Parts: sequence; structure tokens; C-alpha cells
Amino acid sequence: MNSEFSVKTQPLLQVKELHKHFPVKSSLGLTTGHVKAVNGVSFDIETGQTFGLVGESGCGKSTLGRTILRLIEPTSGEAAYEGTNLFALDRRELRSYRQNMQMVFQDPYTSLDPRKRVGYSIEEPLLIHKKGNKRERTEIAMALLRKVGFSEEHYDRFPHEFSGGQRQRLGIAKALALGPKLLICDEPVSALDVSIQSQVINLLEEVQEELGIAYLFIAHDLSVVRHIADRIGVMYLGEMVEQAPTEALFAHPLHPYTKSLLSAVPVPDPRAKRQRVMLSGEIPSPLKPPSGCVFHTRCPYAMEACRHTVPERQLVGPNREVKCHLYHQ
Amino acid sequence: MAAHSETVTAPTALRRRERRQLAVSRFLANRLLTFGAVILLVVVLLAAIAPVATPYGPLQIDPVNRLKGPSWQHLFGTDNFGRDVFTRAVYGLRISVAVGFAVTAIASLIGMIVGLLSACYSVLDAIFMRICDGLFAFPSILLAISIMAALGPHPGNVVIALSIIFIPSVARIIRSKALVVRELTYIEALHAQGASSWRIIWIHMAPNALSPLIIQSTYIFAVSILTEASLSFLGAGIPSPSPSLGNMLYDGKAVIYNAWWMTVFPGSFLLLVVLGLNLFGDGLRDVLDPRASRMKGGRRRGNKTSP
Amino acid sequence: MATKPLLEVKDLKVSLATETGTVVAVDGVTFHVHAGETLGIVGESGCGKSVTAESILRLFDQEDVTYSGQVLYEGTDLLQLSDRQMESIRGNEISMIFQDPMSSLNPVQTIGKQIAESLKLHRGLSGKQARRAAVELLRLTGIPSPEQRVDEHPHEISGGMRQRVMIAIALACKPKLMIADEPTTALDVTIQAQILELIGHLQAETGMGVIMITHDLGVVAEICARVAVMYLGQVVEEAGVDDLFYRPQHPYTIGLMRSIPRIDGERNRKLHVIEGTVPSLRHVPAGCRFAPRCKYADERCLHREPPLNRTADGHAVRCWYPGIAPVEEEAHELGIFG
Repeated sequence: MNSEFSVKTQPLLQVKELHKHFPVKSSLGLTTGHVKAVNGVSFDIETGQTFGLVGESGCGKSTLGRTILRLIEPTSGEAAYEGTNLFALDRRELRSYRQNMQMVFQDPYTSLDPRKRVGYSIEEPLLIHKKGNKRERTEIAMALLRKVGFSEEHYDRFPHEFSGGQRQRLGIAKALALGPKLLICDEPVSALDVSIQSQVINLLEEVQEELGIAYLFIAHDLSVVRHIADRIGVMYLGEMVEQAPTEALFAHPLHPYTKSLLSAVPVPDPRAKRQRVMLSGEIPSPLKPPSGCVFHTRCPYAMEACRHTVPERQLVGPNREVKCHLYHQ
Repeated sequence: MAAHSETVTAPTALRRRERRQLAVSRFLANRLLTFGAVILLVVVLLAAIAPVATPYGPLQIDPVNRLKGPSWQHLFGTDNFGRDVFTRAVYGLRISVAVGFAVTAIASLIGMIVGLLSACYSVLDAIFMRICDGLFAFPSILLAISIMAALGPHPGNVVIALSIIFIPSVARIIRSKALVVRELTYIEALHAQGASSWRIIWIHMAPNALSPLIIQSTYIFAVSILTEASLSFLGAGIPSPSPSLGNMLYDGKAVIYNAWWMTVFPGSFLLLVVLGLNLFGDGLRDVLDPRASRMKGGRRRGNKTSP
Repeated sequence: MATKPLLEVKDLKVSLATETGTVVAVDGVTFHVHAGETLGIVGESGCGKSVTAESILRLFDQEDVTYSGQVLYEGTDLLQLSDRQMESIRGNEISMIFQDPMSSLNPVQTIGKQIAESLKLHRGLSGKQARRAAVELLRLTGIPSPEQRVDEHPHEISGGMRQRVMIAIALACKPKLMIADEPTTALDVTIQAQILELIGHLQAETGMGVIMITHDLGVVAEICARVAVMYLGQVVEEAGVDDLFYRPQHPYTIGLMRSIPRIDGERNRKLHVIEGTVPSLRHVPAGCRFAPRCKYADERCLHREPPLNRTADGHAVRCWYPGIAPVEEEAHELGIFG
């Protein structure tokens, strides 16, 4: 297992063998098993780049994002931010590291405190980390409001006066307040209307261009991820089955799951030719994941080996890896 | 938040004015609320001007004019010591309102703190909620009498006893709402920003968990006035000779066939204030939570705002 | 078209009375569906697409809603029927499936019972017959081992399976028209593909008409024959699917198409943005409803409301200057308009 194949410079964030297992308790409070929400995931995020994380509901992509920020404590593994393992930090150190990493959430309607003026919500991170005085904080908040396309008069408004897309932009402003280097975006546009989605996506791209922030972009919409991400990881049942640069992944998906996922996306073109890799069945329960390769119950190419042997991560081509017996050398 | 304003956006200034107009018109349109508010206003006014309202003092004895019926001199008549019933009733009302207010304020404050802490810390939750269960297990009036027996008869002790009775119900309400608020995204966002628990609980969760308490507090107010009256009636509340609606009723009981005014007037005062509070509370609920009142109509079938 | 349409909606107007006055959620909507045809209705939140669909079945029937116009189903105006007659149409002639299968299913009843219910109600089957029919329907919708599933409760099966059950219930009485309100929005893409394929397959088999309400242009391109695009309670464009995607005329349709990131095509282009937000139904703009957000709007657009003009090939547009907006970004940069 070597993920150091492409180490030219140190990546901004290096996640290694991350596991998060939730205990399942019986009604008597005894642990009867574990849900392996994230099961041995490794990947790197480079400075100023976007890493897209895709997969269907229940694949563990949101848990992964939250575990990196330690909103959920990991079971084992390592997440090194500029070389410092985040999982080894104590409370106080973690607090100061949180300035570097912020999160943008999916639901714009609950991500702002309804009883606080938006100006306060935006400058609150500065207040928490005791940055600047009142006037400086207000100035920063005003500047952020302008950056996300509002005017200064919006400072004194309450969240209910804004629409979903506008609130999402406010959420981005709030996340930018401390000048983070990494933004974890958990489905930031999936609750928005199509025409509003593009506003938010464009804003995220502009912000990245201007400030050089790296994104971990978690989404289920492959078209959006293809548009914004430089590199993509595909997750299935807690495992990262394939990761590759965006162009390469879409041009030549390797893992059978990636293939079917890509072919399932409806194309807004009635003349498009569709060759669907239809999957039979549904995602198995993460409580009792299949033995061997997690995908073998639905895989059209499943072989004998898939049923009992867990595939290793294979390096195939530049910067890509896949977890599948089909590519076993 | 009105459901229809979720998806729509118009010039915000316009919407803000609209919302305010809507709130005012809802207030006025609600008869319960206006009627309750008028009653409460009268009660508070009476209590406030008590000292200047009558030429008599509440303890002023006039042995010559004992047990006189209502007249122009003594509007509500006099009692068995010749004291003016109107004066005593107004002073009694004053004490009732003061006790009710103090109990509501103390129970809400402590109940809120207990509820919020229980929602956030599982260890405290286990302790606090078991204590609450214990307090819930006693009939409230019995509990109040035993606390009064332990503390001794004094108006301040009445407030303490009643507060102890109402804290568990406030704590329960706040806790259940806080458990919902705790799971909302903005609380998670605050954790991600590195906010302290103190900030999260007191600056963000507290204001958002408070809404169900506003309506509940009017009921606490009403019930605490009633309980105080019961305690005084049983001789475990405000000690004689200070006037209180409860001990006036007790005094009147002995002579109810000869001097009806000694029970009827304090009794109607009690009725008035409790009725006012209940109407106000019901009206407030209808205004603050329009969905509940519409649900009563039972006409909804589909969801009107299209997703 | 020679044959009479299965469903014809003519100038439908739905007003909802609210505390702050009347809101016209659907204003003069006209469209039709033939047997065996799939009509897509696309639009964003608040455009009235769901209200339109639910008005066809009069699911809003109550005193604070008023309808005007006509909803002709096989020649009968559904808006004129009594409540009793309407009940025999709902679920029997026209059925509907919703976005969230969990909240449309009764959690304490077995799946089989819920399918059997409408069979007993509309077709007078006995308990045993209905159960057998329920198993068949589950098999038809591609649910594995239907004999066992029929006795399970909704919480025991996955979201995709629940949507299949909803479809089974909708199909129970062999309806002639099925209205699907965002049936795949809550589902994952691989499951969505399965459900869309199922709907298409069932339609080919039964020859029913389908109204597909969605916000996803991809879904529309995939399964619809004709598409109506809605904006703020009105149909702004209606055309055959190929025509709509290759020769869109209304600036809103064009803006919508250009604003979505695509899985095919160029990756690094900047996404188009439709400026502003959808106005409130309480503050409907005078003139063309899209004018305040339209780059190409002039005085006429701001003051006079354009009619829905239909050309000979059946392409209908509600715009004073159809085709003015460029389909490609480059054309706009050359500046055809001023």
C-alpha cells in the first residue's frame, strides 16, 4: 500500500487509512455490531485543488467529510493537515486548527441561526477566535458580504429574509471569514434550484481562483462534480473504489461501479446514445456488507475471487487507483 | 416562519413591512387574545393602583361596621372585622399577581437552564430528569404544602415552593425543544468553527429553544395563582392577616350564608385573572403557531407550497 | 394530431386564498396528453408545476382554492364533477405518484394491504383475489420475491423499492393516465435509472399517458416525448423534446439549459447564470413574467404580457422575441442584441 506515488510537494491534506465504525447497540445497550461507514479510505488534497467525492446515499461520503473536521471522532487512521495529524490534536490545538478548515453545509434553511442577524453570523467565527475588534470584524463581514454578491445593507437582515440560494451564499461567506485553506462542501448545491445552482457553483469557483482555497466537494450529482473537481474519488459502502483525475475518470472509468454510476446519469440531450450498465438490486445494508469485494453482489463482472477476497488498491496509470480484481496484475 | 415565504423573494423591505402588518392584523383579528389582554390590563391596573384606589387600608379594622353588605361606602361590603372587602380583594389580587409573576420568572429561568444543560450533557440529563420524575410523582398541591410546612408561612416561601413545583415542567419543554435545535446544521457549523459549548448553549440554543415557553408561561402564571390561593385557603400560604384571595375565601367560608359578599367578590377576582391568562395564552398560541389552529379546521389535504 | 387527446387542460387557473390575499399559483396553463405519450413539465420551485398536477386530480379541493378553465379527461370536464364522481376517477382512471414514497405509504400497514385497498375499492375484488393481484403487480414493478414482500411494512424496504410499491399502487386499477410528481428526485442515480426504465417499460406495455413533473432536464430528455416549461405559474414554452432541446426559443428555457453543468460536453466552461431570483407569486411582474430577469427585455416586455404563440410545427412560446437569446455562449459575446 503506497499512496506516496505522486509526492512532489506535500499535499495540503493527506488522509490515510481512515476508518469510522459506528457501534450498533441492542435495546439492552450491548454492542451487537458495527456499521462501517468509512472503511480504510486514503486520499490527498493538493493546495488550491478540488477533490470531488461522489457516491450514492449511505456510502459514507458525508461521514468522511465530518470525520476530517472531527465533528465525528474517527475510529482509526490519520488525516495530516500540512503534515500535522489532526486526529492527534487535543481540544485546544484542534480549536485553532479549525480556522484553517471550514465547512459549507447542504441545507441552506438550517445552516444559519434564525434569530441572529446575518452580519453577526458571518463575523461570529472571528469573535470565537478573538480576531480583531468590533469595527474590524464588521468591516471583514461587510467585505465578505460584497464578495458573495450582497450589499452592506444586508448586514442587518435576518436569515428568513433570504431565499435558499442566497442563504447558501451567506453560508459560504461565513465559512470564509477565518480565511481557511480547505473548505469541506457537503452537497452545497443539491438543495437548490437549477438556475440557483449555477450561481453558487460559479461563486465557489471564483473564490477558489481568488483565494487559492482547496475544496473537498462532496456531492451525489456527477455532472456538478465533473464541472468543479480536479480529481474525483468514488465511494461505495464505505470504501473508495476508484480515484482518478476528473478527465480520465469520465473518459475511461475503470471500476464497474464507476461505469454504471456514470452511465446512469440522465443526459440533457434527447439525441444522446445511451449505453447503460444497469445495476441489479440495491445497495446492501452497511450493517452486513458483503464478504470479499463490497460491490460483488451487484457487479456484472463478478468472479469467484470477488466473493471471498477483498481487492487491494491498485495503481493504474498516472495518478489513478482502483480497488477491483479485474485490474489485478 | 410563514410557509409561503420560503421559496419566494421579493424586494425585502416590502416583505418586512408586509410581515409586520400581518402580525398586527393577526393580533387584532384574534378575539381570544384581545379579550384576554383587556382583562389582564384591568387586573394589572387594579393591582397597581391599589393603595390609592380606596380610602381604607387592608388591615384597617372597624368593629362597628362588621359584616355590612355592599354599599356606596363599602363597595364590596365589610368582613367580620369590619375591614373593607374591596380594599382587601385588590391587595389580595396584588399579591396573587406578584406571586404568579415571580414564580413564572423563577421557574422559567431555572427550568430553562436545567433543560438546556440536560439536552447537552447526558450525565446531567440522567440526574436532572430523575429529579424531575421524582417531583412529578407528587400531586403538586401536596408537594407545595409539605414544602411550606418545612419552610414556614411567608410570602417568599410560597414563591419558592411554587417555583419548585413548576421547574420540572419547564425543564421538560425546553429540553425537548433543545434536543431538536441541537441537531440543526447551524449548531454543527458552530462546532466546526471551534465555538465553545458555552457560546453554543447560551447564545444560540437558548433563544431558539425558548419559543414553546412563551405560551407555557401564561399557563404557569395562571396555575401558580390558583395554587397560591389554594395554599392560602388551606392555611399553608400567605399568613393572615395579610390579605390574599385564598385566605379571604377561607375567612368567608364560615359566614357564607350571612355574608355572601365575602366569598363572591374575591372569588370573582380569582376567576377573572385566571380566565384572562388562559384566554391570552390560547390566543397567543393561535397567533404564534397558526398551523395548530388551521389543523383544527382539518381542511388540509395536500401541501400547498410546491416543492 | 388526428386522435383526441386523453387529457386536455385548457386555460387552467388555480387561486389559493391566503391570509394576505389571493395568490394565483397557476395562471392560464394549457397542455394536452395523448394516450401512450409522456409529457414532461419542467420548472423550478414555485413555478406551479406541482399545483398544476394536483389540480388535475383536484387534490386541493377545499374552500380556499378556486379553479377556473377546463380539465377535459376523455371529453369530461373534471372541474365540473361532483366529489363522488371525482373519487371514482382518482386512483382508478388517473393515478399519481409522489416524490417521497415514505410519507405517501401508511407505515403500519403491509404493502400488500395497501395495494389491495384500491383494488377492492374500485374493482370489487375479494381479499384473496386482491392479494394475488398485489403479488402480480409487485412482480410487474420488478420487486424480487414479491410473495414475501407483500407482507412486509414500508420501513422494511429501501427507498427505491418503496417507489416501486407506489408505482404498483398507482397501476393497480390500470389507469389511463399516470401523473408522476418528481418520482425520482429523492432517489440515487442508479436507482433513478431503474425507476425511469420501469416507467417507460410499463407505459409501452399498458399504453397509458404519463405526465412527468421534474426539475431535471436530463430526466426530461430521457423519457419525455413533449415538454412544457413552466415559469411563475405559466407555461412559457412547449415543444417536442427534440425541438425543445435543439431549437429552444424562450430566453428562460435557454438560460436553464445553459446553467446546468453537463456530464457530456465541455467541462471548463463557466456556467451561465440567470440573474436574480424567482419573484413571489404575490408580486407577479406586469408584462412578461420573466422580463425582470431577462437580458433581452425591452419596454414592450415590461408592460405587455406576451401570449403563448403556437407555430405550425406545434412549438409554442410565450415571448415577444422568440429565439432572441443565443443558445451558445459565443453568440452572446458577439453581442447580437445591441
